[in-house]
Amino acid sequence: MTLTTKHFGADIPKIGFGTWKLRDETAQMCVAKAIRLATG
Amino acid sequence: MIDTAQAYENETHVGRGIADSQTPRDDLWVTTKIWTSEFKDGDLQASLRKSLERLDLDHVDLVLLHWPNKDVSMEETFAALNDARSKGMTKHIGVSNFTVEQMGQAVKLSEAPILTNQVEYHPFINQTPVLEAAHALGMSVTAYSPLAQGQVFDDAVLKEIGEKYGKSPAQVTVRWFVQQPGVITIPRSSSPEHIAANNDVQDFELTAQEMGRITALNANHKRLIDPSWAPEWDTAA
Repeated sequence: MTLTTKHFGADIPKIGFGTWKLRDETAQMCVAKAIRLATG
Repeated sequence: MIDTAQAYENETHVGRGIADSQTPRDDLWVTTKIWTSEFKDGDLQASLRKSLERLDLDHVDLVLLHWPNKDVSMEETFAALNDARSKGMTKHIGVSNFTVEQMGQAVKLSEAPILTNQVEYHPFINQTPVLEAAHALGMSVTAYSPLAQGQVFDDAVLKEIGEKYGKSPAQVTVRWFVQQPGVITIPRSSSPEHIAANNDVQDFELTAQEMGRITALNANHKRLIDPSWAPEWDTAA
């Protein structure tokens, strides 16, 4: 289940994944992992 | 939700990670941010188009102005931002590092709603003015550096509360954000284990007293991100 907060009709996920300072293949791997966890 | 920015210089690899996840686009929320050098009409739309090319997406869900820029009028920038939205490049628009006064100006100038103000927010900084203003305007607040660059791991209160629930100080902090209405948090980690842990916060609930104890950690008001181009920040009364 994804927790969301609703503003102006948009359901925004309350927990996201920040990528500041993540570069190259590390960013790629972490993004894929974070999405799978959030949507799996 | 995935949060990136032009200034992070990682949009290409973020896009590859999105593709690797093999997740339907409609199940994803992708946010990026426009750097301040691209705030003029025309420049903004062109730079967002380049971001979309790097991300290999036909639109993002949310695009933010990364920092206020006093060298370009807000009228021009918000007209450009709304134009990008009307062209389908983004579903929603928002701001980052805006003061309370700038949030109010943005709402007045923008045709489309301003969905969020992304600001530094963690247990050790008092963001009451921004939170109250956002609530009054119907906006959300997105917390960046939510774990205070790892400083939450050393806090005695967060450790103590975490021990009660079998959770880490980081998980307690993420849960503290989850329980605040209208607040979004975007923890970052390069460790797959920590990424998983930061999402594992739905099996416990902080009491009102625990929420208050964590909020009270902001008494010393510690700001970690304060570059030379930052605006004059709001201070709590």
